[in-house]
Amino acid sequence: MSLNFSKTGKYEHKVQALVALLDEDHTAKVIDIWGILQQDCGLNGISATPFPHFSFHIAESYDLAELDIRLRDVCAAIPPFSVRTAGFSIFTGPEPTVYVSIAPSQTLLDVHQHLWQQTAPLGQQLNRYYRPGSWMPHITLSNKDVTGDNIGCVSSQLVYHDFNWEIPIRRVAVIWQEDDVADIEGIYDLQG
Amino acid sequence: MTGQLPNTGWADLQVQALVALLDEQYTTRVKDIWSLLFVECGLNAVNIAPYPHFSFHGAERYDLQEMDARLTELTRTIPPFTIRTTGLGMFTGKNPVVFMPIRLDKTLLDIHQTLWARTSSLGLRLNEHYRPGMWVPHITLAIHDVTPENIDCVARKLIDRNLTWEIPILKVAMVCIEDGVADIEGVYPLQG
Repeated sequence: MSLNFSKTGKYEHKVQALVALLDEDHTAKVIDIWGILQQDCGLNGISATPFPHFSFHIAESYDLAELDIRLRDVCAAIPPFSVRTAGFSIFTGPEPTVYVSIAPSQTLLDVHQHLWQQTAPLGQQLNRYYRPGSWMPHITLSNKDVTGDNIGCVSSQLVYHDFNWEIPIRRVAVIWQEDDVADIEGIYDLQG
Repeated sequence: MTGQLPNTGWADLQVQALVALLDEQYTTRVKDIWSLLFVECGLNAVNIAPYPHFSFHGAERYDLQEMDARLTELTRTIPPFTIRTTGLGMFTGKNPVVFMPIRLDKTLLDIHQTLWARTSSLGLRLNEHYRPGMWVPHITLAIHDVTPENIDCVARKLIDRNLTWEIPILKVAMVCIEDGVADIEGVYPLQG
């Protein structure tokens, strides 16, 4: 699967990530919200990563062949699980990101810890915010083009939205984005 | 130390909670944000409980005498710890809440689990949102008077701020709100 980015979603650097894909129902809900934010608030930076997901870790690049082997093995032992969301949040500062907050359960922290130990060493230039103890699991709704001028619109659009979701997680994936293209490198069913 | 609810519409509120109090520096910083949101956006109902904090659990009421005995014993074994906030969050719906999300790491998860296991059974009509697995730890910035009309003001005032704070937690407390008046029932330094 290969998708074109919008022009505003262009990245200067390539990035790869190990992510959890959402189920069909919540994938549709997130894509609906992306549509609302694009139509009503003019935000389309999120289309740079057009697969609703949350990331376990991110790097500039991975040893993809070895990652594939390890994920086949690791995912055979991890059972499907659920995550619970609660409201939306904003990473504030110079480059704000709007996201759906995930309440981290012991199960989720354990899965993250396990995936980190087994697969993160295969990454080059890992993003330190995804390290165990620093990780803040989230489903991105908008990034790159959130500003003080449109954040009011975003908040007004989302404040009455129901974000109390329980999302079944059955698959993880390796995704990458480079210039104007995003792609899913591999999908791994949780079979534990 | 007591606080009076400014909005008479909430004057019959009865709630009690086991909370972590912030240190002096971050108590001042949160109060500065409360003042900003009052002056710029007209929000002041957060002052019902004028002690910047995050809650471990809340209930309509607790067996306060037994709670005192258990907390006196428990806090001898829990060492002071540090929390990290990650930006700005909003619980959406009919009664929106604006807050600072707290990253839920293993230390905080374990402390919450211990406090829940040892003290939540002393509460009547517990708030289910604080149960392990559902808990989203947060420091409230605005509650009871957030509306679609003022939410954009809140977001615009805070979007550029650095809200990534590391806050030392040195004590927990029982906070009681009765007929719109808040009071700290007991303070327990962490001595583990």
